[in-house]
Amino acid sequence: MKDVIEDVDRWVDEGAKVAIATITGTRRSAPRPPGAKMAINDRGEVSGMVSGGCVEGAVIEVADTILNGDGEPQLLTFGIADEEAWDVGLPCGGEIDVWVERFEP
Amino acid sequence: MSLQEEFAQIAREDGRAALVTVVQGPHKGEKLLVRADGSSEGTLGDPELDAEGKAAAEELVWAERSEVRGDLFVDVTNPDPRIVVFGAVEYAQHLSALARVCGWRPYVVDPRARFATPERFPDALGVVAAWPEEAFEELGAPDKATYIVILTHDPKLDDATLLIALRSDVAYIGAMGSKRAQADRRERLLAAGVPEEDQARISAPVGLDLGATNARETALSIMAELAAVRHRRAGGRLSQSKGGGRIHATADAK
Repeated sequence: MKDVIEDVDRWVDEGAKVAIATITGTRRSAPRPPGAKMAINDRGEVSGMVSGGCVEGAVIEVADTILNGDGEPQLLTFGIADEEAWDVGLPCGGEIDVWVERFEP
Repeated sequence: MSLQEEFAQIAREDGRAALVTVVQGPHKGEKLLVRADGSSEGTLGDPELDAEGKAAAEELVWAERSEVRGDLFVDVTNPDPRIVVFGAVEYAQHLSALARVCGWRPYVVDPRARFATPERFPDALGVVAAWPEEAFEELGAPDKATYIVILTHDPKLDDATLLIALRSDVAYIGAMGSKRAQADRRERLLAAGVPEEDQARISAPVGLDLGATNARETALSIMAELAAVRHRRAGGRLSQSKGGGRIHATADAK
């Protein structure tokens, strides 16, 4: 939580809507451990990372739908980069699960 | 105030708590906040899930890691780990510096007021010139997230510290000392009523086997052991670890 809290606080103060993506699980090698967070607001700003930049783009898209749509949280899984199975992936060969939800102040 | 905001507030204050979220199944999105004292707020929508979540939270909030348990994700926030170093010696200076670099909170304790000064330990978050019992009153009681390192070489201070440490549930107790010093300590602790099996909690000599040749390297070997203990690793070379060597810190959550 501490990795993104300053930016989240500022965005909330400014009246932005905020979503938080949290790594819930990792398998094999993954750059960041469970609990690591990335925050996204409805102005398209981002704070923190859930990987080494490999899957952030996809997470931001989901966060946008959550912030602008029905707000239902989602559990995403990203695996090894593989054209057939995944659009985005982790070159280090790991797999991560990411929980994306709206932050209610 | 939402449970998310309450959890955020605890994180802002460097407190300790777990926020449990159902990430799969019919109660997806429900939350339960569990504080370090075991009190909780909210519900996961099902008494069985609540019990499961609470038990996992109470364990992980002290293990200081976030983890998936079944359909639940337990998100943990905690203060940086605390090292209490006994003995205001040169090793303690370097250990405090390394601890800060690694994001730990070092404190130094020594009843000898001449040595236990903030000037000698600029990296320590606190320097206490007192005996261990009084020092823990000032610093807060030893808990499951406290690491104790004894560098004094003074049997009186060693024993006073060890007797408090061994009565607590601290994460780690390390003590410097030669084989001879350890054998003497063993006898003294036995005489003080501490059985062998309790004494097995003491890591002595302290540190990983780096072949340290100066005080800085010795401090590095101690800091390395603390990190390994905290992350439940043996502390060997990655190039020689079995299974290809996991470079990144990952716990298999599933």
